[in-house]
Amino acid sequence: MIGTYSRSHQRFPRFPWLALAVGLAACSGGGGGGGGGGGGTAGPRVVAAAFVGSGPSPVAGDALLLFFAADVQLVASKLLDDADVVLSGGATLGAVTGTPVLLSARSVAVTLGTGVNFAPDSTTVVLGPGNDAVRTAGGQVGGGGTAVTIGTSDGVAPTLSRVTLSGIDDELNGLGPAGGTLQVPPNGFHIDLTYSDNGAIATGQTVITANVAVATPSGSQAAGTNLRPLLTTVSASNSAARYLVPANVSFGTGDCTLTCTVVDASGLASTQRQFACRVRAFSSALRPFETAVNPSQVWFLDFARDVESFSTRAITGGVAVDVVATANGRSDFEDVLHVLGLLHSAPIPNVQGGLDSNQVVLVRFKSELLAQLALLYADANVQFTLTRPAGTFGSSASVGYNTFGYSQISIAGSASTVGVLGVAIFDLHNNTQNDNTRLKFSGIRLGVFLHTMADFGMGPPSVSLFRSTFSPLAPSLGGTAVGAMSQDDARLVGSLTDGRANEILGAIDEFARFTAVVVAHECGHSMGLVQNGAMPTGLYGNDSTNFPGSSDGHIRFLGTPPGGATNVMSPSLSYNAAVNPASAFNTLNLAYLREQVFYGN
Amino acid sequence: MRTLLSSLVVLLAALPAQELRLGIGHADAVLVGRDLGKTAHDEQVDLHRIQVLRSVRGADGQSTVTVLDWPNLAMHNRPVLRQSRLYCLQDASAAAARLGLPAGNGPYFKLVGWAGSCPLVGADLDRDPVVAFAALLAAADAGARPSDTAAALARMASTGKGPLAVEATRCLAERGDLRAALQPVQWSQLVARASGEVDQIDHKIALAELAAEQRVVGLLDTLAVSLGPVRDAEYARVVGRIGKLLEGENATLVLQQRLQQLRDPGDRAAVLLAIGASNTDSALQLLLRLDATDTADAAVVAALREHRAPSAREAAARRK
Repeated sequence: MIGTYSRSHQRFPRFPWLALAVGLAACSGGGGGGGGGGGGTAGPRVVAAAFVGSGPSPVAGDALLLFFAADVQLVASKLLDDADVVLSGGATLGAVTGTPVLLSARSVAVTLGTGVNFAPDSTTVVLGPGNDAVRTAGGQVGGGGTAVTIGTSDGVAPTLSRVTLSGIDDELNGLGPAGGTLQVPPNGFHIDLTYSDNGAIATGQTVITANVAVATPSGSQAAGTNLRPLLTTVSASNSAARYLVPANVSFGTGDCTLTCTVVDASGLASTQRQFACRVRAFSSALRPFETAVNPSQVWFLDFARDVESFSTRAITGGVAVDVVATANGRSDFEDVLHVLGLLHSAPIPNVQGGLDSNQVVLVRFKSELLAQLALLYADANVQFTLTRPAGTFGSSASVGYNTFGYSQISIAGSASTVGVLGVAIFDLHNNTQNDNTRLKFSGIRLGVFLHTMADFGMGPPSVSLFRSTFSPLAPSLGGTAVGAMSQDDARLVGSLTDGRANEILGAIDEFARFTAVVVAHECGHSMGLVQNGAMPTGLYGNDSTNFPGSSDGHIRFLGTPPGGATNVMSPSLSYNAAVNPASAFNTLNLAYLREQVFYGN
Repeated sequence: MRTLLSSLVVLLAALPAQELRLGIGHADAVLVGRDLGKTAHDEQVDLHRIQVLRSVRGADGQSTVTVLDWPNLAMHNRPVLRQSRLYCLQDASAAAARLGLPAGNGPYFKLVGWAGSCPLVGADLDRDPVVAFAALLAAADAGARPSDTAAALARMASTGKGPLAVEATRCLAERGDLRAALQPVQWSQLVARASGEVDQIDHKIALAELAAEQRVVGLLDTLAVSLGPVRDAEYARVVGRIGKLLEGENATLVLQQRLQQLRDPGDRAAVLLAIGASNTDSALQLLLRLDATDTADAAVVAALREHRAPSAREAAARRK
């Protein structure tokens, strides 16, 4: 029987800690470097303690397991007894006669002696100044750290299955076949742990150490110090935890190995798990959204381009949208919406707030576009606006980042190369403000090209999602444009909710979502996505071996998304995938945009 | 600052299919070429000299062509030195003239933008399936008998594997003249493959859309049989859309009958998703009825999210 839990009775052999010893020794990941001291002391630091016994109270022959924050060694022939520890409430380990056993690099078992007396789940233990039995990897004996409660082991240690930074998938964090090492700034990133146990995790006993010094408000913490109390706990559940390295905690620069351990409520510690990363100073040159002048990256969305108009032509199984290469006094963006039936040549007047039906559609489209962009760029220091900020690019396609406060992109009609949805300037590290509204950039038209989608989307097959969405509305497909049917005004403002209202509002929102994904993609390029090469050189762009379908400046990988979703920075994009709500920046792209990782030297 | 141009190309089909057929169809020239080398015209433009190994269309009599490339472009279609590829090229003579390039080094082209429209080809051009596919489409454009082209594409679609089989299927879906040339036995083979395919979902979806384009009688019942064995969300969505197109409000009844045959929750979830994606009033009523329980059914909630009606979205949101 183990502790007070009868369910554990049959799990353990005569000397139950031996079973644990086998497992822990097998799982030991080796040293985490550095000293074992914490809290300003240099001796080994106990992070968890568990009683393993034949009954609810300890008797001679039972065991006490001690788990340490860093690797420890045993001093030959030295007993670990009351002279080495500080027990609360006058407790005692009894007359210990056997030397302790090193179960793993960070765990030690003590066989309790005659007269043992402590209360599991109540008595606390810490190594005292008289400790001469356990030493750090550096040879330091003595006491250290804070006393921990001796738990009652349930016999099953928790499993720490995953450590990563900022939620980045293993395929992208250096653990996958693509290799690489995440490069992070000294602070501002997350440390994520995923774990499990047959009972509860004592989240307050989780240990996170680094093999580099860490600056904190309470002074520099030596390598090996448990940093978890110094981090901001974002969440800590029974299965996962996220910790933020706050602005007042800074990791030393250079290669860094984090070593993490979780402890269950019965006092058993997991096998340690390590994660390697590289900490680098976040210089303005490498930081995508440095704030010396501009508080954030602002993107002006320019809908004004008018260099063409469109006509439709019936083809087998659908409609082709042809370009008429002359301006018509209406933006090319609106021209596309007319083709799709979202706008009508004779809108219904005074639908809402003095706006006609076309204006109401445009307001809803742009509002949804901004909402979707905010969703895609959540927690990134990037804003999108429909109002042009102060400053002009003049004849320059790119100007210094701090010259003025925005970049811009056209949302317009046709591309200069067939089959292209958008073209934008690639800006390494987002070092400049960029003008993606230019009609001729070495012969290439920049911007987002909605005509491409309209032309091919209105073609066959008729059961495509695009056709399903726009056939009821596009006149050339036999639909009735928004504003051309009585009561469309009521449908637009929500006072009439019938099937057509669903079609109208659904089409506006869906096309806004599609446009948002393409805009997010192009603007992503102009903010440094997706640099070729593995971290820390790049963000795995152009690695078609490990991420099939990737190409220069792009990566097709979104982890394990729901069916049909894709990474925003994939080199090609289907309408279905773009409007799939699960499509998003992959975890590494997003961490870059959130300035939690960065690339380059 | 290093300035690159980045582009995003449209991919109409479900990932990861290609759009080679569109590249071939809309190119001014299609050829098998080997990149002999490049010279920089200026900081922004490189000139790739492409040896024409075989002209498929539009490059007859040319031994070499020049392909403009923007070295700072991140487009995924670009010439690769020393590689032999199928090139789908768009005329770039106007751009070349603006750049002052000598006419004698022409003709000048740039790559079209469709995904997968510049694939690698093997050494034996007579046996390379990509070259054969391009030649087939080029011949069709040049006046080959539709029945011959259709038969070849149908054979690829009903027995082939991989991206080219999907391309052939989509070709047929997009070309009414070719579909009209198919015989009943060929349609039987195509529908059988649409029903029986369980591994290559993008191919299965393309076949389903092809059959829907032809308005094959009883298609929804045929496709619904696969819901369950195939749980792919995109396939379920396509079945829902096809149901609405072919059966209207009655699609819900057809799919509901399939639902009643299934017990496994995962199988039922696929059918429910198709019902949601059909976006009909009858689907909405059914899903709201199924949702009127104390305990949320995740599959019903997912199906409600597929439906566009505000009441469906609101019901799904309540279960969040």
